[in-house]
Amino acid sequence: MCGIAGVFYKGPEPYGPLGATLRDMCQELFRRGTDSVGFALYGEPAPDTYFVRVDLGAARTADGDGHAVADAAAQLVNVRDFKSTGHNVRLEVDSDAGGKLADRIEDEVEGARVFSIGRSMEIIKDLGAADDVEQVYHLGGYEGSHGIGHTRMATESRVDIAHSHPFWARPFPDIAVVHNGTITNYHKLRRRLELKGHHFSTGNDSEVIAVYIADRLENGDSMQQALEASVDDLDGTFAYVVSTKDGIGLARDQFAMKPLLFAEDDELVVLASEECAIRRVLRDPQLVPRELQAREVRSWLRS
Amino acid sequence: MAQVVTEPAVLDAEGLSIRAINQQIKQLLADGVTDIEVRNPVGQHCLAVALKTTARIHFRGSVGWYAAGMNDGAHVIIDGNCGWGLAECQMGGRVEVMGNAGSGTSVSIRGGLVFVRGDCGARAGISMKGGTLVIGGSAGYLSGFMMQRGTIIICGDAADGLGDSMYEGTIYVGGRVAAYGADAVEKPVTDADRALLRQSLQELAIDADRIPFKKVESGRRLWNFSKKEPELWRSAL
Repeated sequence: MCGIAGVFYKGPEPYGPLGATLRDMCQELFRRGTDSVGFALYGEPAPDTYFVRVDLGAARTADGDGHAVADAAAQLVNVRDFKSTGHNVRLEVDSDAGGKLADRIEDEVEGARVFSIGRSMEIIKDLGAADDVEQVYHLGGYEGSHGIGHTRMATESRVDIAHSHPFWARPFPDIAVVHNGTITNYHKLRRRLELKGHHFSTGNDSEVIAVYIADRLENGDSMQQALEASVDDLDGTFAYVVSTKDGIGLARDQFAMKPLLFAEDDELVVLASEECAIRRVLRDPQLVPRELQAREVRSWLRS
Repeated sequence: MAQVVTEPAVLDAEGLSIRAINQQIKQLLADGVTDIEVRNPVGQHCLAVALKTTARIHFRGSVGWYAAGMNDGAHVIIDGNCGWGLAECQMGGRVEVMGNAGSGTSVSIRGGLVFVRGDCGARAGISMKGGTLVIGGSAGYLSGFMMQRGTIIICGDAADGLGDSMYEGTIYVGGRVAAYGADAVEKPVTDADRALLRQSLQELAIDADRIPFKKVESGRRLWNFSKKEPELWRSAL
């Protein structure tokens, strides 16, 4: 059991209190997962700017301020700024070096793991509850256009920060996924994607969804087509939300085993595993959340 | 003689824990209150469970999973939606939801009525052992699976696998059935069926005569294993 959440702001100026909204929803979903919590937040992209989020892991004591990570990145790209918070280093760089930046940082700094690279996306995740993450990373002040969140109850792989959601579809910038369920044909799918040259960072079955969707989008599928294909290609139980720079997409397995509800009004779309998380941020009693049906997919994108 | 109308006791659930809400409901019932209005339930889980009473409990808003579980006699009304496991294992009484319900609605009930005015998710009324489930909208995947007794009335459509491997009991469907489950068969609707539908739906303000109900029951071919029908078993298992 895990909790998933998502927010998508509509309209010509689609920005809102994204960090606070997702944090509040994940607080409400605490029953569904107490191991870890994580968010993929999408802000306003700046010209020629990529944001990199790196977990220092074992390098934390040696590189508390993130200098080693910044030096490693500077071998390939121009580092404009870097800042260390909690276990995490955030870099602002001018390129992702054609997908090579993440590998270079991990090769150069032992123990470091790159959580995300994106023009607008930043992944923040840590062990504990939403409140704990808020105290370290101060999500409350984050304005953004859309994002996804997750509370994890581990069943398939290790309880550590790297195996927490959201998973970045490495090395594709700005694509991430949160998932509730179990992908039973994970090894087969992973092998198939690895043969195509894709790289996996963890042994978590959910990561394969992110890479699978990114692979289909790269090969010309629309979001809707990729979601529909996933319902046939993924085996097992799943309710997942994928996010790209353009918006979010959701899908539910053929048995409707894992819950997923959404509600929308003129200003935003809110989705979550449980209605209580939706009600926390949308109190209008007239607004009726709807459950995604078995095999149903939905997406909200900015054109 | 003038009828005495009493105001319901109001319980504001805002900011209360699940346990505190349920304890306060039980305390009011122990004090002899027969009509309780719960405000601001905001989708909280496991509310009004295991109540052995004939009192009325009215939730002004949506509730979460396992609402009114193991109900034995209470009349529970939910103005909004509910999560999965509504009225699971109900023994008797009456649960009404004005919005939609999640998956596993009315699972294994033995008696009483469960009414969802909107749609139900997957596996509505599976393994029912008695009682009645009425769905004003549509029912999700595998509804009525392994039903053993009782009645399910679906006014709208039914998704794949309706009545799969049901033993006994009856399902009525007003709309389109995406696909029947293993050994679920359509039977002719009799005058007795129409009278039952009219009577059951009248009190819920639904006009049964305007809905072209089909009747679905067990074909009973899965009751006993037969080597002569390997195809049937292959499709069922």
